[in-house]
Amino acid sequence: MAEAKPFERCGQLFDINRAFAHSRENDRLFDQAMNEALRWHAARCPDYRAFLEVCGLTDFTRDYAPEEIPPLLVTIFKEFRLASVPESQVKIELTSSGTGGRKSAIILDHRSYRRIMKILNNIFDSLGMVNHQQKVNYLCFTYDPKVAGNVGTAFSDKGLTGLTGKRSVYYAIKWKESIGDFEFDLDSTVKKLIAFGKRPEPVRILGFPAYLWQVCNRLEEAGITLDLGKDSYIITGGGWKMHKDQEVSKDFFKDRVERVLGMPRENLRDLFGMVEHGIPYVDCEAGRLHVPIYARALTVDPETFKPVGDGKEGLLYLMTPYLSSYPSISLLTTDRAIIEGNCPCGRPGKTFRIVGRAGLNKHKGCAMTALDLLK
Amino acid sequence: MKKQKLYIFGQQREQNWLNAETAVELLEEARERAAVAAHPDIECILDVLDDVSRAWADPDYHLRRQAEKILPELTSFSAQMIEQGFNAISAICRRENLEKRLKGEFGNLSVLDAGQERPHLDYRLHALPRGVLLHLTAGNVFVGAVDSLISGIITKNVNILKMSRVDTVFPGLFIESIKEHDPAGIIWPNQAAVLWKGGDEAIETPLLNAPLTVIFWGGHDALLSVKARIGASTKLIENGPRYSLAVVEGSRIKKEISPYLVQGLAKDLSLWDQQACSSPHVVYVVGATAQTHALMEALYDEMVSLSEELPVGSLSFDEKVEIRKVREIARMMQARGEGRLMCPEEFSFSLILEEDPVFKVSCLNRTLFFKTVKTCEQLIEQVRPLSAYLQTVGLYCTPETAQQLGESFFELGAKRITEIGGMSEGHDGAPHDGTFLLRQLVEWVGTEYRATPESRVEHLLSQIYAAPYYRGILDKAGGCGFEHFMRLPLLDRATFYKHSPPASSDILTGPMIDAYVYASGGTTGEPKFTLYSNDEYRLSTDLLAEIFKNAGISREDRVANLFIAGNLWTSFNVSGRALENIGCLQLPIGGGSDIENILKYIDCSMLMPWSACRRSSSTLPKKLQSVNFR
Repeated sequence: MAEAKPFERCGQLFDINRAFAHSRENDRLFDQAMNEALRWHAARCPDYRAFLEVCGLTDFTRDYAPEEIPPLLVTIFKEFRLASVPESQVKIELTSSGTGGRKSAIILDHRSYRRIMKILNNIFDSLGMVNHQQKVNYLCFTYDPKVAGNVGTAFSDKGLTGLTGKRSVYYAIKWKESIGDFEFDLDSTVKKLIAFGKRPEPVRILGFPAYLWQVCNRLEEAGITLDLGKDSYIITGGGWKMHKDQEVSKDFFKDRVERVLGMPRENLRDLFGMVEHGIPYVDCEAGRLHVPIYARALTVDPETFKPVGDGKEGLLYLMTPYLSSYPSISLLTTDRAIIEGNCPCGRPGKTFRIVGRAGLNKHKGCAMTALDLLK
Repeated sequence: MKKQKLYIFGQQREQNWLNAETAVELLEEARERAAVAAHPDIECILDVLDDVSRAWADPDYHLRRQAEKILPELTSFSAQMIEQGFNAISAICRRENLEKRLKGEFGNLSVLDAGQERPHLDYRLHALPRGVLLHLTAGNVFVGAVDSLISGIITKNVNILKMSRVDTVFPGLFIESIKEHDPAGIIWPNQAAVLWKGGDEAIETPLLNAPLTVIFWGGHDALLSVKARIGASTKLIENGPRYSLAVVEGSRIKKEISPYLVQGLAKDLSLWDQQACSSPHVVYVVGATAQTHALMEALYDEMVSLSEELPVGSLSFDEKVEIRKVREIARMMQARGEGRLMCPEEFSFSLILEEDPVFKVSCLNRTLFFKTVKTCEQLIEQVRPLSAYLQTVGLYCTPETAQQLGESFFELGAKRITEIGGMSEGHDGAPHDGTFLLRQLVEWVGTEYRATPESRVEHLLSQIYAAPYYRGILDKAGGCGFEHFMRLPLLDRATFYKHSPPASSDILTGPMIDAYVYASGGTTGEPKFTLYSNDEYRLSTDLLAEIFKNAGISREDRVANLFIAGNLWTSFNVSGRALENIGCLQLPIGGGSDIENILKYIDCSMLMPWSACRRSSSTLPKKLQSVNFR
């Protein structure tokens, strides 16, 4: 997938199949790739260029450390449509799942699409989760993409179900004509999972953890335990969202999955991703979200932007050069996270833990909050 | 969390003392104390609080020094803001301010003690304490909890104050300071400051279902939670949530922007780090965008210097994230030419100009949005969708516009119109959130008499029965009942004066203290004396003050009192007293002065504007009528 100018370094970076092969050389390649991406977006997205200039970054002839590139706050993509390619080059437009009401609209051109699919494959391959020869039954706790269209999670499922051969794919959140909305069909899902359990092929369960939790509840209530086997995986993502009250710890979740679904606890993997960023950060066997060589993660003080250092809570700040369609190469999230190193799984590089959403839902007293106004 | 001390009616308890059982005990003790708390005269209560005021005004006061050490970390306000808080506490407790507050709400302090006659309404009015108040306080401004407590104290209630988790110390220190200045124990033994985790049903259920009054201060979710569980016999007084905004008329923004405006706006934005419900979220400029930019630039400079004098408090991680979010969106808007961000690198304040005129809720901590609207009508339309939550509107406009906007905002539902610079400091005695708080903390009770001649006569007779002269004739007639009234002898002048001072005091209905002696004319012979008790005198001067006010005399006026003074005549004094009630500036020249002097005093006084308390036209010297009254 060698790429021509102006993306030679990007091409070289994405050609490295070993997603966690962190080294000085690869770090340097990442830095150079980020500068290619910076110049690309600065030249093609006037709003982004103006933003950089407002932030004091005006000389686009020199190279910058990726950390010097002013980040765009993730919320900006909910407020503004930023593009670095003409509409004609847009392959797909995605929206975030809209936690909290507002949705981001993100466009991917062919180049970015191709790159992210390669990155996705490299990451999961490096975690030992890619097997195109293996036929797998998929249970997706996400929207049926035939109806949901461009919702980011559906796009993500498409990528994840492409990591193996497919025997069948079942989407648990279905469009219900009578209510004009999507609905999680628990009964049908439980039946389908029981049926999958009786088949010889492994099962992969993808999506929102709260729904899987409900399935486990239903199975336990009925006294049913499954034996999905060592080749089956669960890849959760998207957090507990409106089911926050049901949220349980990862270990507690793993215990239950092991007991009810009959599969190794280390095969439950959480995935952290954002439609505005695209890189999937996936749990290793030790349950840590690994940062691949195609990205860089920092945690910073929200006031000073100074890194808080490993082991301390900060605001998660992510960088990646793969995007050519919109300028989200340096992104300030609204998640609290802790960066760590020395993962027991032995893979080099940093990992991070998401601690929770950052920011306030309420003030200390009687002053009005924006959320109050929505009530 | 460190275990905090609870203050339970004079005794300190450990935080874990409070549970379902002790909550019931707490209530029982509060109810028992209610009768005791209701007993002291309001004057005694004000005396104690005035001493407390002086203590908190002293920077060396040991409890103030103790609070100084603890509060910055606890509340995250800067040390300078904490100082402001102590000054505010001292001001709240000052006797004159408490009197203003009480008079502003009750009209007369006596309603809290012996009661007040409503002579034209045929009843005697009492304001009795409701008994037990439960204050559910918010953590935004530490002064607020104590202010709520004081409201309960001056209405003679027993108070149970649930401290906010943000400030678990100051209410206790304040009660200790009362104890130090209340040796007779008329206030402090009736106060409790407690703490529990909001939502703890074991504790809250008995409290929220008891026959008491709950004063709620706080946000939307907490209010809904309390409302859902409040008992049928429990009265709930709601305060919050609210938002506020400021309005500046563009035409008043000249090249040199008035320091009055800029300093006032900076103060409103900075006080309590914008955490109060009266703090502005948005400044609307009615005019052109250039004027908004000019105001923003002027405010930026002022905020830079104010941030040194009155620094923003320490911000939590989440508060910083909220500011970061707002700033980054604003930065992008500026890049797109749709707005402007003015802020120092550190998060001491953020000024954000947005093109979209829709009202926007701020993330607070000195984050202020600027928006431009072309007309007042447009402004009102922008605010209308959120008008149910509108509290304070600070105005800097011409009087004409201020009047127009004031009316429109009141129609929308605003509760306060203030000048910019006065948003975060409510006036003593003025309503809060559309109501008078103190009035809600008492039971208004009345002893009524029917407005029939019979009833009025009986009431009057029972009042005058104290006078030996009247007692004599009433006893002889058979008593104070109406049926005996017709048997009373007619009072003629000779009898009246025979039993009046100096000849006698038999006709006096009260002791010759707390009263005035007046005499009739004197033009017809010997002066005849009449006594007015101060209550009667106040009533008559209160009424006269209303008459003067209706005639246009206001607090801002300078008034020359040209009634003739002396000779035991009433007119000069009652006019003076009525003018005192109005609060205007008086020139007690007196009609007996030489006309040349009268004119000289008026000419020389240089006091404007002028109005006059005129003598009857028949006696007003012709030459005086030539004075140019303005």
